[in-house]
This record gives sequence, structure tokens and C-alpha cells, in this order.
Amino acid sequence: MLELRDVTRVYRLGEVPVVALRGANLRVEPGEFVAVVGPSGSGKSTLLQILGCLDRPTSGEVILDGQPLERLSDAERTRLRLTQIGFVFQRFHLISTLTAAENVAMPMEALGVGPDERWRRARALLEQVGMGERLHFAPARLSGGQRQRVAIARAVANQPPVLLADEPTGALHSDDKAQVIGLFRRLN
Amino acid sequence: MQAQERSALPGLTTSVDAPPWAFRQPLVVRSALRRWRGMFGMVLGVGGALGLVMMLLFIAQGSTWIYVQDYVESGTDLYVVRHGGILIGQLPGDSPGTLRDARHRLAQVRAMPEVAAAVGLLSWQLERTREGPRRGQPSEMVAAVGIDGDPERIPNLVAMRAGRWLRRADEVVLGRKLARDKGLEVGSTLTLEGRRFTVVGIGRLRSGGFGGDGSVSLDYRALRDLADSGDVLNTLLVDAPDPAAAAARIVADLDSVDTWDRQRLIAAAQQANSSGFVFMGLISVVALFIAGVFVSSMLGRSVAERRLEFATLRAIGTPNRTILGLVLAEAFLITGLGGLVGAAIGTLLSLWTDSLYADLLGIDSLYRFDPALFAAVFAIALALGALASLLPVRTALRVEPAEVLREG
Repeated sequence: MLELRDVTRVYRLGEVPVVALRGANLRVEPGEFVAVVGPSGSGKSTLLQILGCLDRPTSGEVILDGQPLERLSDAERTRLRLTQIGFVFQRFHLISTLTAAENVAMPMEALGVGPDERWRRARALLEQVGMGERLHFAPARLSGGQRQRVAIARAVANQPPVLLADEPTGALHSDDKAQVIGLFRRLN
Repeated sequence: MQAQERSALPGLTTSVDAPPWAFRQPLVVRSALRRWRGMFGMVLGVGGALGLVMMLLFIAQGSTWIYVQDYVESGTDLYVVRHGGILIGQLPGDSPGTLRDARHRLAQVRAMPEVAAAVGLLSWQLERTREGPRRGQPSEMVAAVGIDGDPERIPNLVAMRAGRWLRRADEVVLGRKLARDKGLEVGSTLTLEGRRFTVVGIGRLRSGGFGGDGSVSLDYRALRDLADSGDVLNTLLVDAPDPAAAAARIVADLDSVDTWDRQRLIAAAQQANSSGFVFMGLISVVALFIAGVFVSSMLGRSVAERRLEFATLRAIGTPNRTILGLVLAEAFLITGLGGLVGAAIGTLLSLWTDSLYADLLGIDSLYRFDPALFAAVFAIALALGALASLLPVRTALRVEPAEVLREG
């Protein structure tokens, strides 16, 4: 279970404080598929970054499976992101010098999975998202929808219990949008 | 949003081919290898600087070797000079000085039980008299060395290129540079101070560095006759099974003399070259500093361009050591390849410099393959890589994923 309790996040733009989140509360149960909607600048990305341990709240608590996250060290938060949280970004953020299979295998490598097992799982994941024929393609040779499918495969590579997606269809054409949403539903 | 664990991704039972070679390599290696095109200019820049450093190291080594070569290779154990005489000069007035009553002293040394053989040397300038069609041309001075005794009794003292060592008072041996410059060869005639000598060999004594290649060796008595020098010698060369005992005896029995052994000569040669070392060291430091700043700024630019990549890696939980490895691998690949290029450039520059030395001084090649020199260049290259990556590594590790991904 993932929970936000009265979370506030204030940025400083020079001397000016900017409130991105004010007293946000959220509770997500296992198996839930939650969509957060709101206008641009309403704090959706900030919310996801706090949920994903990329950012720390100015006040309030973030709790994952009963564990308060603000007490974790940077190294522990990094480990948590690797094992418990998968990220899908609006602009995919694949590593341009790696192939599709290598991008998917990257989180597994960080976790210490051996090359044979990494290869087996990366192939399987890419086949799962319909990219089995493009294992050795560099991101530059893939369309937007294909890149996002690779990014989704990367996000679930370490089988995290939490998958966070920040406007995952925002940079896609309508056909690709439907495919990606379908993929998320299938994963859920 | 929560993905179902494992069961959410059924069908992980596809055929398992072996992963490609590149896939098996660690991320840091793969990433560095795939970015080689962007590193090409840096490799050449580092290689050029290291090549220059390697050539300077070779020159430093070679210029010392010119001085010490004779002392290392010759079987002479002791060099006897007048008290206070200096064999390897560092100041304009430094010289071995003159031993008076020289023949008697040389006889004394030869009679010592600690001495196996001894040879006396006297350096002088003699006037060469022109012959044949060049008779009318101005005369020229030639450096001459008079030798008292048989130098072939001291192991490896004589270095012959052609012909043989002199046996009679009307024979001379020419240094290689002198023979080449004057167009003389074995069998030629050389007239010194109006007296004719036959050239019987091209060679020299290993008694004091490259200068011997530019001088003529002749019998001591012949030189005394021509130079009217009196009973003097500059240096006695001594072969002694126990050099320390022989040196003690010589200093005790002969008035006002000093002895130089091989170690003292080598130390003096290195001392004489120390100012050159400092100069070349300074040039090397400047070249390496420029190379280091160049690599560091290029790596810094590379890290700035890869900010989004590092932010993504950090966002998905890549540990700091991997980020560190990505920058270091690139730095070490650049400087390692730079070391290879530098070794190649340095070898070519060294061989070129060596040929200039050899032409100028009339000596053999000084170039010797020296694994220590190559090891030094690679050690410098790796140290350069480590130092140049300090700031870029710091920048890469300070990338804030939340901030960068918000912008990106």
C-alpha cells in the first residue's frame, strides 16, 4: 500500500515560494489503477516524483507498505527506486547509446542479475510489449510509440510492485496512445 | 498504480538464445565503447601530449646515456686525475687538470699489485697540414688524444669501427665523426704539425663520451714530440680487480691526485644533466597540464550533454558507483587510447630525434626499447585520466533527477 499524508511541496524561485502541492492525501491499495488528472502546473508531476522517491516533501509523510520514506538515506531511496518502483516518463528517456534490449536490461544489471538471465527476461518483456523483433534497435530507430513500449518494459524489468507513469501518452499519436493505455491495462 | 507481480507478465518462457557479446559487457564498458567517435579528438590530443612527454623522457635519458655510456661499457675501473680535477664538467672552467711527472706516476700505478693495467691519456690540439691540391688552403686544428700504453689490455676500452688499433708511432686512429667530416678512411694519410701519419683504424677509446668520435688517437710519445707538451698527462685509466683498494693505494702513494670510480662518474653525468631534466620536466608538466585541462573540459561537456541520461539512470535506481564508472570509463578509455597513440607518436619522435643526435654527434643510435618508458607513459596517462575526471564525476553525481526530468 502506498500512502501520502498531508504532503506539501514548496519550491523557491529565487526569493519567491511556489507551492506545487498543498496538503495532498492519497491512498493506493495493491492492484489499484489510479489516474491523476488536472491542468498543467497543478502538481501532478511533483506528486509522482514524491511518490517515486525522486523528491522529498516540504512537509507531510510518504508511506510505502507501512514504511515512512522520508527517513531513508539517499542510497536507500535509490535502492527502493530500483526494486519497488517503476517509472515511465512522458518523453521515454531511453539511453540513446543502448539497444532496446539493453535499455530494458539496465535496471536488472543494476540489481546484479547475470547477463543470461537479463537477456532472457529482456527478450520476454519486449515480446510482451510487441517489440520482440526490435531487440537490437537503437532508440533513434524506433517510433514514439515503440520507444514508450520499450520504456514500459524497462519500468517493469525488476517486477516492481509500484508503477508510476507521468503523462505516458503525452508525446504519442492517437493510435500509439491507445496501444500504450492497453498495455498498462494488460500489465495491471 | 501497481503492477501485478510476476503474474502480470505471463509468457516469460520464450526461446533463450545466447545474448550478444556487447550485451554481456558491463554498462560502463558498453557505454564507453559506443561513444568512441566523440572521443576521437580527445584521444589524439592526449596522444600528442603524451608523445611529446615520451620524446622528452627519451631525450633526457639519451643525453645522460651519451655521458655515462662509456663508463658503463668500458672495463676501466678508476680514472686518476690531478687533485681537484673534474672529469665531467658542469662549469666552463671545469677540467681534469694536468698530472706532472706523468710517466713516472703512470709507472708507479702499473707497478701496484692492485692494478691489472693502466693507460695514460693526454688531450691536445694539433694543426693539420694540408696536402695535395689543398696544400694552399688554411690549416685547421684537430683534437688529438695521446695514449700511453696498450688500451687493449683494459677490457672493452677500445671501440673500433674499422681497421685496427694503432701499434706504431706513425699510425693514428680516427674518430668516426672526424673521419666522416674530413673524408678520411683506413689507409688515408693525415699530416699533423708537418708529420705524416697513416690512418689504420676508425674508432675511439671509451674514455669520456661522444667527444672521442671527433678526435684522433695517436701514440703519446708522438704527441709529445709534436706538441712539446712536456711530461704531462690528463688522466690515467686503471683496470683494477678491487677498485676500492686500488684507489686507496693510488691516493696514498701518488701526491695530489683524485680517483673517480664508475658510480661517481655516472652520478656526475646525471648531475650535469639535471638542469636539462628540470627544463624538460617543466615542458612535460605544461604539456600534461594542457592535456588534463583539455580532457577535463571535454568530459565536462560530455557530462553536461548527458545530464538527462544520468538523471534517468538515477531515477530508475542506478547506484552512484555505476554513474561514477560511466564517467571514469570514458576518461580512462580516452587516456588509455591516448597512451597508445602517445607511445606510437613518442617512439616516432624519439627515433627522429635520435637520428638527429647521431648525425650531429657522429655517434651510434641512442634509442633503446625501454619498457619502463612505456610503463611510465601509461602510468602518466591513467593518472591524467583520474585527475581530469574529478570535476566531471562530481558534476555527474550531483545531477538531481527530479529537477532535470522536470525540465526535460
